[in-house]
Amino acid sequence: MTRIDCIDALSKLYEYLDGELPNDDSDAVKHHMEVCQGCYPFLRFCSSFQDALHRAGHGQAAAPPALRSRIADLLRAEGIPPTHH
Amino acid sequence: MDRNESFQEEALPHLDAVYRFALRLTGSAADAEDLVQETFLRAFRAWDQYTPGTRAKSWLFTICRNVFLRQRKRDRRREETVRDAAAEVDTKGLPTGEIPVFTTAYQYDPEGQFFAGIVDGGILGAIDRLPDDFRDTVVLSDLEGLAYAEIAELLDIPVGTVKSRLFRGRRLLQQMLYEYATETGYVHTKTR
Repeated sequence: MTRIDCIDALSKLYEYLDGELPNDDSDAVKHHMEVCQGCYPFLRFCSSFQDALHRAGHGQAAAPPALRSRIADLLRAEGIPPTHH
Repeated sequence: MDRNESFQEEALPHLDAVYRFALRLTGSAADAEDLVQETFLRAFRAWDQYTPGTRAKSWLFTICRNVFLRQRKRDRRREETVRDAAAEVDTKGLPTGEIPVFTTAYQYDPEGQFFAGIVDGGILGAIDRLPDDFRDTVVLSDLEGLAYAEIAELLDIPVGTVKSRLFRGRRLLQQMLYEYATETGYVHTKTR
């Protein structure tokens, strides 16, 4: 496996967490985080941060039923039949 | 499958996602509803231009954002300085040798546990206050789970710019959340 230094690992940290790295690079960052006491806390910190954002994202409001039916009306006027699901 | 059916099957299931995106863009439920309505109307009229099976969600987000930007341009000119600041950051690309976290918060709480104590409304409110370019990338990545390539296409910017906006936008957001947590009493800086 390619070994990378702290600067490299930290600059790729979000790409790693976002699942955007090719397998080799991903493995290299993962390995670096496992063995480097200096970098590992950054991984934890960023994971906690993103977990909170994901949680807030899931907690967002759904489209109000009134909006849903207004759009259905609009589309019907444009030629789309009412939806049944 | 005819045009109407394919629109119902591919576009309408994303109504909630488009509404959420519109909420973050406009910061107001009433404006978001108007924006979503306009988005779906335009999307339906332009449905022939959509390639079936590609990401309908990104396609709808693109329309939504374009409508929003056009309306806002018409309505008012605002916060040019903030946008300029964000644009300047973009030209620098991804910073090397810089740490991806807000240092003060990291020193206070290296595990970032304080993030878990912040209510959803506090997090979403902070995201809404990010400079527009940062907000858009953070919303599309962290709230909507879009891939970098999709975000780049949607915002019409290079993937490298997506990365640098996420890097800086997230760090700025960490700072805002840390300040929020301090103000609301979750983080007690003095007892440390």
